[in-house]
Amino acid sequence: MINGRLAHIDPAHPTTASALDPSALDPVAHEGAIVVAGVSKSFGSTTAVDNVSFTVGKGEVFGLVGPNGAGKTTLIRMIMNIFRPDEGGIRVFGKALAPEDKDRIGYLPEERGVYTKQKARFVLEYFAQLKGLSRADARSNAERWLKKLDLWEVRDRQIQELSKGNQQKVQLISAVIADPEVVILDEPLSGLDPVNVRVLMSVIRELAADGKAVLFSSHQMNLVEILCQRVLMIHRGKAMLYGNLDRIRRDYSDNAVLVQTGAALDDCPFVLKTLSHEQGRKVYLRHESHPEDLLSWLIHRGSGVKFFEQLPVKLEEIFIKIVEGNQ
Amino acid sequence: MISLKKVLTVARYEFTTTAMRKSFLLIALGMPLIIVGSGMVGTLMSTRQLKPALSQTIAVVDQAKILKPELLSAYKKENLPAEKDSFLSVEQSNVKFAPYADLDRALSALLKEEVSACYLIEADYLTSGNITTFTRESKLPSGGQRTVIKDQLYDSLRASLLDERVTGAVRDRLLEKPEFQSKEVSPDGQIRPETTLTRKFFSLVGPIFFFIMLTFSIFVSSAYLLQSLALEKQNRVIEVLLSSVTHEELLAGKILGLGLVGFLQTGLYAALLGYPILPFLGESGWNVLLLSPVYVVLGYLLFASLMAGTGIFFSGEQEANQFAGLWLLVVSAPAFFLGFAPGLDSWVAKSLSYFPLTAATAMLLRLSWAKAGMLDVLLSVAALIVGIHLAIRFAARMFRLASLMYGKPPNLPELLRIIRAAE
Repeated sequence: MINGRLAHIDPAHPTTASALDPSALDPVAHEGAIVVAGVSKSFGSTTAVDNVSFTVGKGEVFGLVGPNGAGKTTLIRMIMNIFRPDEGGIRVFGKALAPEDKDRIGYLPEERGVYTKQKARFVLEYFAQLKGLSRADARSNAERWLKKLDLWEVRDRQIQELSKGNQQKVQLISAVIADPEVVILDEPLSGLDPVNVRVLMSVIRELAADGKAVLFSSHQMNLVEILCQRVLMIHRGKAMLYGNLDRIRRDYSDNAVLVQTGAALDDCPFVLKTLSHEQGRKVYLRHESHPEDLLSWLIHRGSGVKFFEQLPVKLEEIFIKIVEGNQ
Repeated sequence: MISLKKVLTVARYEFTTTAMRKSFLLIALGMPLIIVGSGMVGTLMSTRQLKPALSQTIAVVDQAKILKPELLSAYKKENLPAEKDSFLSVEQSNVKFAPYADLDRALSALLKEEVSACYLIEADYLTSGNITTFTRESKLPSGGQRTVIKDQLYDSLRASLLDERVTGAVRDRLLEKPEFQSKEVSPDGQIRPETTLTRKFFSLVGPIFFFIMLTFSIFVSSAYLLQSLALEKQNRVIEVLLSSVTHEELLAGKILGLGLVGFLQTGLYAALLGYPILPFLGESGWNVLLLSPVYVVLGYLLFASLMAGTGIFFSGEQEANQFAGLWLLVVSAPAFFLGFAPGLDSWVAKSLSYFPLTAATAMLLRLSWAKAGMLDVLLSVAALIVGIHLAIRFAARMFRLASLMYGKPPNLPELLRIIRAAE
């Protein structure tokens, strides 16, 4: 039984995660492929994960984001039943993870490796068979994925002879070769060149589009912003943010726009303050004002507007803001 | 619940990848070839040593005036059958004797390399028996060739002395060495032909060889497991594997697959080297044949589990290999202890047979020498089964604890702290 808790929502920032009951906030919680509720884990005197809750639904790429050492990997290892949580509960496919359920989960760990002296296809077939596939199915799936990721030509080379990018592709294939319903990827794109990042991101999107629940863990917040609809931000084992990414951005937006205009912006009733910017002026609006108000005001004044852009707040900026706020 | 299918998948992978490794093929196939090859070379060299290398002429100066020139190089037996000839006899030798009238001429011929040696039969030979040999100065040893020449010259001298004094079978018997026949009397009074030297040799070294081979089998199989785990930690594959199988399935698959590799290797050695020795094991042969596989398997399960449980803390193949050396001491410890024991059926030997860590090797040693009874077998097997049960539980626990632990392996106090923390 999941250790359910009442939602505590910070009125200023409704997406602040403090001991959330995932089902209270999540539209997908009732059908979550992974449900984590109030989970804690300590190693000696160090608390690695402290009362964290979230869900991952089918067909979504869920971002688990935080700096290195935040507790992401420990959290994932608890989901995979490699570590046992000290407190709280984890449900996968609606129940506590049983050994046979591992066949339905594809996992790419952060501390990952492959048998470097073996051939790529041989290793992939072995991993597929470990997931319960027959030898014939393992062979056919390996062939399909090797062709899909342009590795067919190097299928019979030792993995150590492959480029780092190709080695990481082999590692990703090993996680998805058995067509799992849940895919857990821990830092899958770290160390990759931009071309391979694009290739693997496209694969991850396809997995979600195919109805799989994808848990994407990364310290690269820019990639999480591109890939994920919902995120959990974790820092020093504690959940800092949780929910829809657009909603989070809105909540943490500093209500600023970038404008190039000849108008005297200090006269505008919607403007709080302005700062010079290399592309014009960065204009901070009053809390109750919206960018549309400023644009209407500029047009109404007949001032020329060469450039007007609503400044999106980056996840990284939100993270820094929260961490600094906590300190 | 352990999935047998997954255990077998892991076992198949471990067996295939290890048995097809170049290093394995080199050791498994190369070692017997080296042993057999070096044996053949040794035999060839010793055979060459015994046979006269080159035909040569030897100068003989007979100051005693007893040597009959016609008998010098043409001694013929009169009555003895031809098959009695040894290869040392005159007819088959390549040595030719050339009589010289005096020593000066013989030595001159020696220096001119017309003859390869000079034998001087002293004038007082009949009373003193003195014969002096002259050879050119050389740093090389003369070897077995000189023995052949001396035997031939001695045959010729005896034939010359007997000529016309003694004839027929008596003369031949005096010239031929006697045929000694040896018999042994067993403790129950039965008389049997004496065991051959070869048989005695193998009866002595056979059990030792078998013991070493079987103990080696336990150790090699366990060491493969240790290496495999260390390599997977080094390659960071363990976590990937644990996302598909449980700790127990992975451990069981490895123990099965790598055990088969070890037994394949030992089986190969046994077939090539051990099988010819089996007949020489005498009354212990059948015990060794039937019971030793039991102890090898039980010993392997025990030590493989212990090595896996302790070796999981290492993250490199090199560290694991060094650590395996320590376990080799434990595996072979009974051989050292029993070396100082009053006997292989003493209380020391029995105690070692009933203690799980020493039971397998102690019993292999005692069985090889026919020094273990049925009670010993039953008690030692029971001790091993209890030991294996505890070792597997220990290994599974350590495996769960340390399979994702990287870096420097913990020392003993740290290890105890980790174990306590996990409880």
